[in-house]
Amino acid sequence: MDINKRFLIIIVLFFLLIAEGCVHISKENKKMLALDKAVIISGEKAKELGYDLVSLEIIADEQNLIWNQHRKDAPEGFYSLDRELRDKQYWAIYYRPKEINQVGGDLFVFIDKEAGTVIGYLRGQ
Amino acid sequence: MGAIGGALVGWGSAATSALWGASWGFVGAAVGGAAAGAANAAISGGNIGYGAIIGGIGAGVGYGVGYGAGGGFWGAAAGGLVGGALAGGVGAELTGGDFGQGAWMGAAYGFAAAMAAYGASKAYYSYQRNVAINQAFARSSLDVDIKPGVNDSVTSNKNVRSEMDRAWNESRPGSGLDVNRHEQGGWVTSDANGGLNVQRVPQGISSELTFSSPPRNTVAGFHTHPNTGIGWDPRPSPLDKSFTMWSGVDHYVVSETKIYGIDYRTGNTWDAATR
Repeated sequence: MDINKRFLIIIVLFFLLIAEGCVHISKENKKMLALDKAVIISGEKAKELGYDLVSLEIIADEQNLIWNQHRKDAPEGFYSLDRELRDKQYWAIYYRPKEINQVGGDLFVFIDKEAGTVIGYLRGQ
Repeated sequence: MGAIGGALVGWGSAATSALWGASWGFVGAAVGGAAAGAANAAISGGNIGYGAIIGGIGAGVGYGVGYGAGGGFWGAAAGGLVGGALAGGVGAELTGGDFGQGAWMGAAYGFAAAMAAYGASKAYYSYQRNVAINQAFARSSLDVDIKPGVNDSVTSNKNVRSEMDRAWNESRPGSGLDVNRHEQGGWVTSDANGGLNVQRVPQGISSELTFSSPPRNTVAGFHTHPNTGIGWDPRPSPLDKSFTMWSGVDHYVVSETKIYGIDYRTGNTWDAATR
């Protein structure tokens, strides 16, 4: 097998790999809603529920850290939302008042990562 | 010899595709495959550069096929077959063997390696899950030891309990629409005789309450959660917990069926009393 043929095979395979990687990445991006878009959708829901977004701090992260920490305190099935969240990939966007000497007034809005819709919400008091 | 060399590359590609791909995704599979291809080429006396390139491409393609097949068992099987065949055939061709023979052997080795790697990764994740469950169990046991749910010194005090119940009733609790529903709360203080008293704070609005600074001898705080409808959290919210830690004293949340306690040191909650 001469060098040119080997070189050609490697070049073809290299482009095959690159193309496959691109398809893979675009498939991932298409499938999952980006966090910034989820924040916008959740903000609309918060306004609809009567919250003043100017007075609220928004916390959102890839791991839904605040929600997971909060959720573990309650027994399984405690929230009616548990059934709706089960087997779904979602963002849990958390809104909390900026005042430190206040209780309640915080809010979780859950956004379906695949459908880009509001699954539900949980209001602190 | 060429076919066997190619098949070995296929084996390495498939194994790393399944194992590295599980932890580090597409790039992990390709890099792992390249490393395995180079190692196999070195062992079998082949060209290390070619081995690395073919191994990387085979593992990358194998990962992509596995991902496209939905992952899991069938994804590993499909990825092992296709990635192994591709790397095996090309490896054989480049080392002077027959493409078809190398592809068959590569597919067979690739399938076997992918199945072994799939089994190993399942066992590894099962082990990790058990460790996490045990750690969670240990933590929850610790929480219970810190704050027992019975004989709570604040909620078992008749004076305090009576004030909590009064605050609850004044909140106009319920699930329907009531514009007069609001939160109530206050501070629990101790007197010189060891008795407990309550100093209420001005009423809040539907789902919020602002606290003044705690008075002298404050031992705890409390507030009501009067909204009982769907979408409202009866338990202490994350903000309730951070407020408690900021206030420096334990806090109690009076809900319809329970009184929850919040530990000011950790933010952990416990069931202090049943209503």
